[in-house]
Amino acid sequence: MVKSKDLWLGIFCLLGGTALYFYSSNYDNFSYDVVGGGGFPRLLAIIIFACGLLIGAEVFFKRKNTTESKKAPGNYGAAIKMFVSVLVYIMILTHVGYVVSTLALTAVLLYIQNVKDIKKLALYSVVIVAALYLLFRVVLAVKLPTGILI
Amino acid sequence: MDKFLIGVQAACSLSSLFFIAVGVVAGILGGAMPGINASITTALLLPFTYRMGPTQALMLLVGVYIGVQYGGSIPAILIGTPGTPSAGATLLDGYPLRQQGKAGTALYTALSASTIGNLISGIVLILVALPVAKMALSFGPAEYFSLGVLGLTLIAGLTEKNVVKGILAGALGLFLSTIGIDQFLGMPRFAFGSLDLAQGIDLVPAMMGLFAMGMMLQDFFKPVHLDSVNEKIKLTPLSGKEFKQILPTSAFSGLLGTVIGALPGAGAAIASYIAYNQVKQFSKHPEKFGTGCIEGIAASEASNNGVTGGALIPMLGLGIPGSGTTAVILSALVIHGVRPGPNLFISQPEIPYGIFIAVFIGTFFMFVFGLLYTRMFVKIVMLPQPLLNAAIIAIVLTGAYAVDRDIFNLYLVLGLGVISFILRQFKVPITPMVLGMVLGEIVEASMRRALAISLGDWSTFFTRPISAGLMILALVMLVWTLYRSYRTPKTKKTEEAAVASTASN
Repeated sequence: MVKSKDLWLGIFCLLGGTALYFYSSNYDNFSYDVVGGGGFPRLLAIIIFACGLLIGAEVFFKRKNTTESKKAPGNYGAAIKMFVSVLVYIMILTHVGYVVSTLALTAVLLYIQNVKDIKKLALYSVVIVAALYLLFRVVLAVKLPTGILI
Repeated sequence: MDKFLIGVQAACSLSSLFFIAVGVVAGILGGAMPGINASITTALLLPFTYRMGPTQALMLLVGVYIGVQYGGSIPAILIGTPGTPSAGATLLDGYPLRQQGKAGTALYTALSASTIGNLISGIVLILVALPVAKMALSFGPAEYFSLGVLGLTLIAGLTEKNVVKGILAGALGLFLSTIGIDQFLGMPRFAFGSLDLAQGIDLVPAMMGLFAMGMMLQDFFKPVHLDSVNEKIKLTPLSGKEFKQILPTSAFSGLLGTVIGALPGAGAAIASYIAYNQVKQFSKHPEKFGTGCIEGIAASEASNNGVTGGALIPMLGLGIPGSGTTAVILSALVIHGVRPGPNLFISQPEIPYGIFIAVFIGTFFMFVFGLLYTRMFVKIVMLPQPLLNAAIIAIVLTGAYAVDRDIFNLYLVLGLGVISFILRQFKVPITPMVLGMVLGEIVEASMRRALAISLGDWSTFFTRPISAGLMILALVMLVWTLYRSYRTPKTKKTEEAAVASTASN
């Protein structure tokens, strides 16, 4: 059975390496700089392309001997929810303020992880935010965003 | 001898002892907070020194410098997020050890190795500060490039099971280091019109994204229950046998870190990875590295603490800062009207010799406070996993913002976290990617500078003695690692059987 994940990885490397190689040629050479701005990225593109070839070769030459072990499916939903929560947090942070937005973020993250008890949600969120605010704002004197709230 | 006694007098006054202790505590705290590294912690405390005398100011800042390198190991071990870039190598064995319920062993190993590393760098500082400073001057671009290449051979060592994926990750990391303003062209590369990307990818948020955020996405990927409390962790100090096991590693790594620290621009992160690689190569059981081997922790911590004294050498001897942190300390000296350089040892001996003694005193305080804090730190990992995950994400995001109060860093953390998560699904290791980012700038810039000086002659890397030596060492390391990873299974079984029969006799 072909390792489909490795095959996709190999294809990505081939395409990515090719794109990087040609895009790097946008950077000019100067007479005193032998390598130029695009030289090092081109070298990396060749390495990435070569890795793609090797991974692809490994997939095809070892396909008869390999069997994909069945793993329990992961919780993509939780991971996506976490990603969206953090993204929204970043977008509202400077507008709403550090304390309120971080309280909301920690509460949402705990909820995603099946912490449904409102009291525990509130307590954990407050403790985390209070500790972070104390450490960063008070002790380390790092200015945290205030926004329209706090 | 008189100057040495003057230094002792300066460092052992009550006010100096107080400021060293305060500095060490602040440093441990700063280092333990992801996003707050040595340079930032030192810079945050710099304004407090304006009203102090020069000696007290330096005692405070040196204390911070000592504490922060150890502090970075704490989150690396407990939550899989390095507090400082130099603790990235500590994470390789520290976090797996913590997952085995041996967080105490990992923390005590880090503390012991950090102490040994500091002591060695302090001894080197006293004995050979000026000669080492002069030796550091002989390092040119070709030597820095070769040093970077030596560091990159670690990639092969870290990924013996699948070297190709390791090289791929390393190449991706090197590519990330090229994003930003090209030092030679003065124009942005791979910024795609973004002013934020044009400034480059800062190492601190990058590490937090690749390590911590990626790990958090992975943890959310697996269902977690509220009642799943981490098993109680035994807080057992290092046994005599374990201490003897890490002693030679710590001594070697501390010395290596001191030498690398003396090279301006080399940094603690580079030192920790190079030391880790060297120790692994020479180890009788290299396969144990990365699975919770205390020698791996010791190598990383001793070397990154060894950098402390090493970086002070060019600063005091030549007036050239060896790292970002020593640049801040140098600015403190200038603010107080002190001009570093060889004359400082004659005109104001209490300052350099006071700093030498402060390194030893600071190390003592670091050891004592580390012992006191360890019990408290271990309690952190006994919290429920959902709470720990939420706290880690909040800490990482706050820390990323604290680097330079730029929202873009948070997007960077999240974006690199997603990349890290995707790469983990394809079983591509993350550590080589971080290593590529750490070494990328020094490798490319040094290579181009060396070739510009030699007018395009590539043999410059092999004709200069130090550079040639480093390149040969890198080649030997690479070949040895590849040979070990690709030798036939039959050979391996034969060797293992031979070892087993020897052990039974």
